[in-house]
Amino acid sequence: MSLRAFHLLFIALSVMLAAFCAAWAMDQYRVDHRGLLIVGAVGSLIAACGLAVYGTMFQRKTRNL
Amino acid sequence: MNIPYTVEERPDTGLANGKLGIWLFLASEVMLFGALFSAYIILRVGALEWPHGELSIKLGAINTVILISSSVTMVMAWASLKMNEWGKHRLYLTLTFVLALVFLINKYFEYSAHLAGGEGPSHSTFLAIYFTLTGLHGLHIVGGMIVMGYFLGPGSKMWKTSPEQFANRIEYTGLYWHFVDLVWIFLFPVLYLL
Repeated sequence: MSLRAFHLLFIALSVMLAAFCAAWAMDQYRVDHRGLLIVGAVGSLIAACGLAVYGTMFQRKTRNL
Repeated sequence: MNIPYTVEERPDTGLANGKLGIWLFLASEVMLFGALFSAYIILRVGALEWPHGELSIKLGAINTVILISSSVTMVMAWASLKMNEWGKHRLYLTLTFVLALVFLINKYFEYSAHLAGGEGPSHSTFLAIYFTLTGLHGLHIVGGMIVMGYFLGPGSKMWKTSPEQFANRIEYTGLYWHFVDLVWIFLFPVLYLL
């Protein structure tokens, strides 16, 4: 496996981690109504979307490497 | 005497020597961390109580962002070499090195807070497995920094004599670095969140 392929796999797993963090923060918010948890959930969701966009762009731009 | 297949792929494996070597090494690393993760699962399943909220999620999350960013800069360092952009390669490799250093500084503060409060590895089973897993991971970060430091310093001379072989070496360093980052991607939720 090349570094390019391994990087794409890593980004895919990072997207999953960010989505998991968002779900975890929302679940915690239901028990403990702290505003920081909502900020964490939204931040994690934005990070997941950002990483997914980055991964797609990386795949397109490095096709010929 | 030249060692064959340092640049081109071997006909039998379809890989250059270095790539086969790094993947064999990473396979042994998977077994090492896999054994420790298994130990964690067995200890947790067998425990009557498992502590929650003992670690700083904020510091752990910051370190996660740092390592994901460092994997991006690492792959950019390799891609820059492939596009013959030496200056950009140096910039991205230096950035990766600095991000690794920031990760370790963060970890130092985290460890110091625990140790100052008398919460060393002997304090509880959770802290024993926490220090073992993150300590071993931290040593891997230091190992990666030594390799990057070499390629930023004396090892960079190879770019002039054998650019393709140098690019391959940076790729293998990147594979190792991604593996180290991947271990953290599993460590963070397991130790800090669950």
